[in-house]
Amino acid sequence: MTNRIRIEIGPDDPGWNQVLQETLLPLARAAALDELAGMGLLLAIVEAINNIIEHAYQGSDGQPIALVWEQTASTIRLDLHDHGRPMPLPLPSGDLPDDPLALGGRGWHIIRANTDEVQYRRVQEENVLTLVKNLT
Amino acid sequence: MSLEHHTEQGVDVIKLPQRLVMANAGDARNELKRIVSQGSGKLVVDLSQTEFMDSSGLAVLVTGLQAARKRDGDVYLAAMNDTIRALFQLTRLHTVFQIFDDETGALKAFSA
Repeated sequence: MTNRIRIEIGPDDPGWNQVLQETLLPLARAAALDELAGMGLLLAIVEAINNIIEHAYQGSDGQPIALVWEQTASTIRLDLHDHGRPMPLPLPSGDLPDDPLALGGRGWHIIRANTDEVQYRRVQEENVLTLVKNLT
Repeated sequence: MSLEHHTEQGVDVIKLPQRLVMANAGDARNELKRIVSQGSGKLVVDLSQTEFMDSSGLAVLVTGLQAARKRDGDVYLAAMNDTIRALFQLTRLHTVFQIFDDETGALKAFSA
């Protein structure tokens, strides 16, 4: 059985991540993720969306992002769709910055630590970032 | 955004909001820097109301720490929940900040 939901995010709405939390945490619990794992997955999604707003859309307001949550017996798969600038490849490794007091550079570490697989593809003018969390 | 702020025993104490994320991080950073620049440089950050923080929120606290250390001060963190504690451990910022169970413990550490 597959559960699939799609959420449209308006990134200029400052409450978007609270909406995600209220929507996705119950789904994570239903998928038998414990509280820390569920919050970790939510955090990975938030970091990925932050990157889309900051880099793909370069901070411009009102640009759409769609999140598709698809759960099977063995995985949660999250596809994030946007129409911003393409993501430079290869994807960041997720290493922490050398300077422990660096102001940035932790987002990809958080994404990779809280997911089992990350994929990216550009289809026509659309970016699709896929995060996979194994359940088994 | 206005951070809850008071001074106790010469130490600035601020309480972070329920969520510290990209949308409010810029305002929080500016306010934190202002508080540090006008105070003793010793700061306790109370996270007892904070449920969720992303890497933008971490950057706010690192900014505060840099500003405090420039004034020979420090930033002590208090009362973080398990999720945020896990985030600090994941990003190894628990080795940079001193973390206390509650505000009282953090204030005592400044007076020790």
